[in-house]
Amino acid sequence: MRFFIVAIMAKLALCGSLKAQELSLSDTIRAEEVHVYAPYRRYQAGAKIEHINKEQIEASSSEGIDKLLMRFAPVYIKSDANGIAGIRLRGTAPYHTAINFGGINLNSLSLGSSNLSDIPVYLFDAVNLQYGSSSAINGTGAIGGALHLGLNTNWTNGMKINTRISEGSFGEQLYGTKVFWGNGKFEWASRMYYNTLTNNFPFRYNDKEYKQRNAGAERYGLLQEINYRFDPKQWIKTSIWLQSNFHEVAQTMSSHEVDAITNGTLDDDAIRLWSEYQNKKGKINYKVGIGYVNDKQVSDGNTDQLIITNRLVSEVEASQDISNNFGYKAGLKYQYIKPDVYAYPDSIINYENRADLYAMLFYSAWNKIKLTLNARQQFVSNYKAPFTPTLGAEYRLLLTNHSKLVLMGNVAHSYRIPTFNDRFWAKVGNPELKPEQGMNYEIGLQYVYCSSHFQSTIQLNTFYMDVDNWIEWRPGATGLYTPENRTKVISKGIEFQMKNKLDINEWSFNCMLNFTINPTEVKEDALTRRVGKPLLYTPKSNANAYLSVNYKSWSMFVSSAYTGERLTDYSGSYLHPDGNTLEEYVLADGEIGKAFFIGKHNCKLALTCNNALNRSYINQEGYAMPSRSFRFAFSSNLNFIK
Amino acid sequence: MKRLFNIIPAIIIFAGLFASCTSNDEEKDNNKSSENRGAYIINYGNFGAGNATITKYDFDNDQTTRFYYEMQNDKKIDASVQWAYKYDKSVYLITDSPDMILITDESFTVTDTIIGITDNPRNCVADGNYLYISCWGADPDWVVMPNSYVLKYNIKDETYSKIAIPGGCEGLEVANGKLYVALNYATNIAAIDLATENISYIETGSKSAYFVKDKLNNLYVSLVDGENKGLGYINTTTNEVSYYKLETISAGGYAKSLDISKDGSKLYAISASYDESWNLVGGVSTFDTASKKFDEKQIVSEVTGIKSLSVNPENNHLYVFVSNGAVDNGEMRIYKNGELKNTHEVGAEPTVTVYIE
Repeated sequence: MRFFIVAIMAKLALCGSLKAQELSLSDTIRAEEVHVYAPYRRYQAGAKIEHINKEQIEASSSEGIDKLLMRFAPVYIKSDANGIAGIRLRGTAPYHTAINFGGINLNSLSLGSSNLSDIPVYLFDAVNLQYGSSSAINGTGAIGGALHLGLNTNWTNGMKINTRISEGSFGEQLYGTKVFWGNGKFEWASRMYYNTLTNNFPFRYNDKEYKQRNAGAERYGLLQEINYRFDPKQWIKTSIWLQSNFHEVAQTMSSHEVDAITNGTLDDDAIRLWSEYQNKKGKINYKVGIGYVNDKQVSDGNTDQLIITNRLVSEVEASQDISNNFGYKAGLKYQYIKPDVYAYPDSIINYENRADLYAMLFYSAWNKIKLTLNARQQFVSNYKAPFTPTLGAEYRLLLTNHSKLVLMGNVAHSYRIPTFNDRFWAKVGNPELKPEQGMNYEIGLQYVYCSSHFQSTIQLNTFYMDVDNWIEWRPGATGLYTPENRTKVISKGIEFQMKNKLDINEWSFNCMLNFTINPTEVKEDALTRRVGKPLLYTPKSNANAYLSVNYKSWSMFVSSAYTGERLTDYSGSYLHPDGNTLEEYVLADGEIGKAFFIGKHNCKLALTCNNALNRSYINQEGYAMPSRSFRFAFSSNLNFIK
Repeated sequence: MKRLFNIIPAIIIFAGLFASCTSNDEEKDNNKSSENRGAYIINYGNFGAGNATITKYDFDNDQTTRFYYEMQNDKKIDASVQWAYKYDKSVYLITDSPDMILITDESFTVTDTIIGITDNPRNCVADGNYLYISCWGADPDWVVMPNSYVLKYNIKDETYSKIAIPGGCEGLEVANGKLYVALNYATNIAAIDLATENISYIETGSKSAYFVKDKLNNLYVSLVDGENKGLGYINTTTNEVSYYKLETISAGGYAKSLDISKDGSKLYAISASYDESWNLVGGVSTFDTASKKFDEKQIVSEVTGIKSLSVNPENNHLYVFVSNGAVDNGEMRIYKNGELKNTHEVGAEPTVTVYIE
């Protein structure tokens, strides 16, 4: 056993968080605590949380999170060429996935979702994707899952400067820099970027070739961290993220065919602040956080119709490991929300208070079993939110010197408070809407193998989820679209995931394979014609494959993603009278890179090819997607660490 | 004989090609309808998805044919049809996303496509050599709609000009040598003298939507918001307006919400009422054009999702159309003397009906 522990510690850097799991089942995330905003894995036995590896994050550094997930995760992202990209995790809608940055859920309070193309990969060090319901941990909206954006805190002693410059096809440019400066106790980290995209890619439509017009974007952002460590167990970390996004509204293919291009635009600006003090010196660890979010949206430059929401967020949390086998965490989160939306009458909504009380327990026994219990009760002014418990369990079936087999599962209740638009939009909003509520049942098997030169993780999960009171805007009594609790849906599926890493001398291979089968079904709906049909834009199957090879200073990867057929409406056309569909497609990307040193500073040149097979595909009905494109990137890491 | 053997392969290939062409043509002809008589329901579809459809209703045989436009043209509309208007031997389909004017013959086979001259078109009407199309204009502000206009399109020589009318031009009608323009973002109605193009405004105190012309060549207009919510009746000689209030008249839906019976005695308007549980539900109110009064009881009631209506000018049947949303098929409910006779499935967002004799 001692040999095993020593061997595991020596390989910690290679095997990541899995080794920490083997050290202690009750402390599965210790290796990831360097991330400021890591998910609460410790209190979520049986949860499926995928850590996108550093290599993959780097490969997508010039892009938005949408591209990263499309390429490397078996999830469907519905998007046009450059407009709104929404995640559809396990058959749910974009507003069913919480997007977490610190103690803030980035999802718009008015729309309920986030545009993933506006979240730049470059600014973040870690991206974790949590599959399945997790409202007890992540609060309202986490029915399909949650996306966690993480920053590493390195407590830099000296200075590090990372720079990235990339130029690509269709006017894509990214200039970014990250400057880390500190003395080991104080750290100042500035991350900033500028990204622009003309997006004038060619596409074919009705046997003619066109160039995409009015689909450009310009985005820039600054993420400023100011961190101070009083001692190794006590620190304060502050992050301020300023983001500005400008989009032209992408035009349909048919608009190009008749040369009827309009010039719609969309401006999104956001200020996000999260500051957190943590103290782990005493028996009880505690954390105090405070945040502020300002989201502003302007369509077509029309400042008479602003959509602004302001949020003040505060959180207090205490945790204690009573023994190695038992611990708890409890907290209170409070939000004061002040909307300033032209379509919300002040007489109906002026502000809203929200408070979340939550508690989490973990218990482990015989170094084989881990049980967790989470519960959350949210209180919303003039609105009743449901009590949300989750029970998770893991049972280690096998443990040898090199391998581990774990059976895991959970039962999770989830919910979503209707958005502000749902409840307060003038004349059609309905403050009496019920919250959406879901139940998620999940069971999985994870096998981990770890030797000196080969690591492998194979995971198979199956899930069943139902969501009741699903909200949809449909024509109401007088024909105006109104939100209603109309539908009960079922999403079920099997997810297979395999990750392997092989090191042979100076060669290193990474291989990943994901496959998801995820049928969805409308179980109940006032419109009986819908019953039994799948949800729109939910492919029954998705798959990704990824292979990277590193040899000395050379690196390359190839990746491929398959997206299955999707239903886009229930009204159909002559050839598809029961509903129009989008064809399945396979995309392939690749990159080759060369690292080199200038003095002691490492640099890298990389050439990337996206949609290498030059497939013509559609991700949202009516809109073309980019053809084959190339990107040349240079990155450098200047290191002045003491 | 040898020469005959030489040409046999060519004959076989030619025969095969001919056979395959014949087969395709037959298939196409089987799909394409040659009987034009019927009611054609224009379904807007899903904005941006380009999936508007046309459902043909053969009222002689009580049968519907979905995707009629596709059958006639072997392609989808690839746009959202905002309004349709039959004039002379043509049907004008006014589309947005993208903005076009599709001109078809009476079989709905496209004869011409006009692009680049409309911005967010809303409605149309024709008179003489001209087709008039109301447009919100480029970059609408959704508050006062300063850029809205009426496009005056010469059907014969295909020239056009624009008449600026701020306020969100919506419904159109021609009467007594004037083009009346309902304004959906202002509390007046524009009247354009078609001879001089001089514009005068009729103050109504309410925002207006659609017109219906009676046998006296005067106009009923739906007033959907403001102090005189209900119906307005415009004497087109004097431009004086009489008001008949109906607080529950349909305020939205951007579809044909007003129509008049064959003999002009009854006017039907989409309205709302409260059900037994005090929920607001949709229906149709009847206005007696002789007594100038609304019937106390709706002729059609408790219709959730009511979108548009139409009176068949041949048999006086009232068609009420229900929308189930932009991605679901709608419904057509057929009423005879207020009694529901039948229901048919139509396309998504049934907006306006065109009749071909």
